[in-house]
Amino acid sequence: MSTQLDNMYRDLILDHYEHPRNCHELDNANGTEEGFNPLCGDHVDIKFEQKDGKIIDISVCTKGCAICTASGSIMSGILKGLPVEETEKLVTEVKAYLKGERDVKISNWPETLQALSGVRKFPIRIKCALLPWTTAELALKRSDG
Amino acid sequence: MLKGIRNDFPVLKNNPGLIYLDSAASTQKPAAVLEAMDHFYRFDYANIHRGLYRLSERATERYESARKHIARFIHAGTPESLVFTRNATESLNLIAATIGEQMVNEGDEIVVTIMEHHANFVPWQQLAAEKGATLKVVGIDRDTLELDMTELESAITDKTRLVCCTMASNVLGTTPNVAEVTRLSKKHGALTVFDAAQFVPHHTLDISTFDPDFLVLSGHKMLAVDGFGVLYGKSEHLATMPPYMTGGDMIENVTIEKTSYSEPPQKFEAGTPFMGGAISLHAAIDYLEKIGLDRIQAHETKLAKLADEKLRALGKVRLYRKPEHIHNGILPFNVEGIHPHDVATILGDMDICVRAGHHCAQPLIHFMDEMAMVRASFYLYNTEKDVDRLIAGIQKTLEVFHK
Repeated sequence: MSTQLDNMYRDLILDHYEHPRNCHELDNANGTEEGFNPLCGDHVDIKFEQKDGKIIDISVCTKGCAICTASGSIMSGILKGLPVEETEKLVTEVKAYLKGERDVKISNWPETLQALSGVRKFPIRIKCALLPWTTAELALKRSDG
Repeated sequence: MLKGIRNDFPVLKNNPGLIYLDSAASTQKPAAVLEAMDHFYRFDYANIHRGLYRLSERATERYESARKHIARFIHAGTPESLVFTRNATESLNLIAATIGEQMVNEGDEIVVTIMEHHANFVPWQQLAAEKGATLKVVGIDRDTLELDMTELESAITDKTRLVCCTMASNVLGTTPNVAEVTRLSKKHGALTVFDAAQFVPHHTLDISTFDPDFLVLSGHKMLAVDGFGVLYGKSEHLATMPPYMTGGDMIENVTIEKTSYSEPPQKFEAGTPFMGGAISLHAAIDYLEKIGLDRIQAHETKLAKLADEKLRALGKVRLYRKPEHIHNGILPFNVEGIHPHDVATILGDMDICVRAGHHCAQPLIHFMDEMAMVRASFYLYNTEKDVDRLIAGIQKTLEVFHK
């Protein structure tokens, strides 16, 4: 097996796949969005509650592959508690990084987020990692918080 | 078992470690097919049906001889009942847009099966929606994965205009009893449309034994090149159907006021066609017949059954076809707890090519209560070694996921 594959399916990713975080009911959600990946049937359901310019709670429920599920789970941990403005900035950055659109310095990202870097060597799987982030972006745009 | 076939296929020779198990998506091309095309473009090429010189006559002769050859291969009767298209999808859309448009009215019914590829599902769904007709979807037996003939019988009524059915499911490999489908349809005056794209490469097809109204196939799934497909239609239908596209090559006479059209099949072949595609399918049929379809079917079935047995032995693989129902090379499965795309990525990393996803048959995948499936498909060039590599790949996948 190639090291590139090892790098994508590292233990942290597999752990988030087996035990996805932050998928729960969210009664006071003021931002929701569903995302689909028509190619493989990945499905992400995002709900969050923002208050005073902050994401105070978030739920990310994924039905999909290891990469999509782990990406959503990792994202949920990072966005929880983050100011909305920073959230928007980070989502844009992660998208640009995964797509390889421009150089993004990831050394100051949380370690969990850096773990997604392995996917960049598998062009067809980048969409899987992106789905939670693009869905979150839409949810933010439409939110009424 | 077939031996030495791999050497006939340049892609497999040029990629020595490659385990190609995705022939149900598209087959590799034997050198004989590539050489036939090459020869055509080097020696016989000119535009057809109109040049008043020997080269064009020769090109026309080669193109029309391919039509005769394909007609003979599927026992279609007259070559004029074959229309050349880009692929099976275009053939099906042509039927929906011409005779479908003519004969389906509000309150009518179109019957399809749950097994259809989107190409034989969406055109009918859209036609029904446009006309205010009803689309009826017939299910399969969850145990045997065979078409539910009782359900089919009650679904077809006097309101049914079209019955559209696959001859071999691209996901399950199921081959419905088409003679029975035709009999039930005729009883109510409904026309039949059969999608043979996944059937013709693996089974002997004799149209004369079940007398369908329409049947479609794709060259690229049966060793010919991509971009060339065939539509078989009964002469009586082709004669009264309106053209699908208009332009050159399909007209009889054009004045400023009006146009009259050529006879079929030219009426449905507007514009300069893909001549190389026709030549390639001619050569592909020669190759298939040289090996023998019965032997090909036996070979791929044996490999699929062997893979089925070895995958079952791993204990963590869900197999959908019962071994006794496997009679071609299509083998769908899922690895417990691992998404098909992750399975296919890890296999792909080991140069084992399988398909993962919904296989352009989402209604079927949902019917089977799955999000997606892995599909290995075996063909004449695969070997027992390929099966062993697949098993090793699945074992590796389980290891990666600590299963």
